[in-house]
Amino acid sequence: MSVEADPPAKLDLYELARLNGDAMRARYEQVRDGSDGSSGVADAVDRFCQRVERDGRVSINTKSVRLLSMLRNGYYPNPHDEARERARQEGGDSEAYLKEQQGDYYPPRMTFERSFVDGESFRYATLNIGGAGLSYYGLYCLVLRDPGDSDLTALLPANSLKRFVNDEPQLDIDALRREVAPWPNRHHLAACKHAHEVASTPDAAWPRMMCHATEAEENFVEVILGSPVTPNALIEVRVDEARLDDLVAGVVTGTVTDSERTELMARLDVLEALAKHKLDTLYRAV
Amino acid sequence: MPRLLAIIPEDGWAMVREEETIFFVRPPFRSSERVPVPEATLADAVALHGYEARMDAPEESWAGAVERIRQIMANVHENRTLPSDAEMLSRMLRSGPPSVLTGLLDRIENAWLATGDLRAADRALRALLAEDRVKTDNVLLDRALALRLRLDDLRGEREARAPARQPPPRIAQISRRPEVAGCRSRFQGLGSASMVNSGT
Repeated sequence: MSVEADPPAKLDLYELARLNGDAMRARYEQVRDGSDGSSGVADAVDRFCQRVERDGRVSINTKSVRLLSMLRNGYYPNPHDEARERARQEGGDSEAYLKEQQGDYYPPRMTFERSFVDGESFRYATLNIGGAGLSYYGLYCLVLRDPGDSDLTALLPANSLKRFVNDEPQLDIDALRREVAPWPNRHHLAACKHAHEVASTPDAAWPRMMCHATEAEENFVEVILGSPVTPNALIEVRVDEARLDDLVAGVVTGTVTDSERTELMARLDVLEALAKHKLDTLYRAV
Repeated sequence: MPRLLAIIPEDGWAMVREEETIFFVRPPFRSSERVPVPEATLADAVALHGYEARMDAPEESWAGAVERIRQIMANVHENRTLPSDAEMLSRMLRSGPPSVLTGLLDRIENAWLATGDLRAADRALRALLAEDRVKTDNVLLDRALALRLRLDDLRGEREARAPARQPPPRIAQISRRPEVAGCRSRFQGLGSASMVNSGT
């Protein structure tokens, strides 16, 4: 009679974050105090840390269809929710739909999420101190209310897969334990991450420093949310509006193409849904 | 050669690989606005943020890749009848952010009236003046009415500068017939009196 090994116990990401709060603060103090005071680096690190504590918000960049789904159904969907919804509508197995949608990215993502308790409820967001966030992920930058004490939140210094899952794929749990932080220590984590560059970066460029991509790397502090993200959590919907003005002008002059009508209709659907839910005052041009 | 990798069809945001580099592109697809991103961004775009992977797209020119993206976008509504352009404009003015209203007023003033596109200015002003948000906002209403006056002035100037309109040859020929001599005054509106009288 064969005995199957028990699957490894799942980890509680939010508890790991909470347990690492003091260590993150201590690391920040070490970084700040170790900086070269004569060149003003320590001052810049300190100023940056305060700015992140004051202005740092959780933001999610999303496409119009997901924002509409959030407004219609009352919660922001992740790929697991979308696969379940598809299975409900079309029949079939939600896991098969998820595999189909994720393609080659399914194994590493599931390795990460299924290492944690309720990992399939994760929503991935960004720490944002201004601007449109990681705009290449979606037209709408949803800025959320700060997480409360009872909200499930954990911060990682970079893209979770890139940083903590190897090619096997296996999770580097030791590295994650060292680098995860709870929301109250968001500014310590961000300051440790950017200490080497804040002094040489103008203050006005700090928002972009925290959220941008180059060909070589993506730069952001990842915020993992475990509690449902509902429309009530929205405090701003930031949008690049220059394009909207051009689309409207095209309708007036009769020069819009079919693809531009699709764009305009998607934007109109969102605007009307925001108005219907009395959230239109949250719309901000950036 | 560029190849489309993933797209958000409704918004037109897409990832395209050219040689070893992945670019994020979005409407209106200006080459100067292509943003290089790392492989991890493509992975998250598909796995987390709802981009649809397009494994079947061929390698093609940039123009071909952009046309493919536009076609995918246009196909989003193939099973749905979209509102007319006039209705979309009206709904956008009703539900859009205030900047849509001010932006359109700016464009009337600085683009269409400045360049003489009076038809576009007229269409936009009609739509704006029909919108309650404009009618109930004194600042917007005053500005729209001032632009309307300017449009009327420009039209008047344009008509004054235009050469007198000649009647079509057939009408001119009819006006010269003796049997319509008593009705010549009715032809006055078609051209100069001298032209009408030339048949006498």
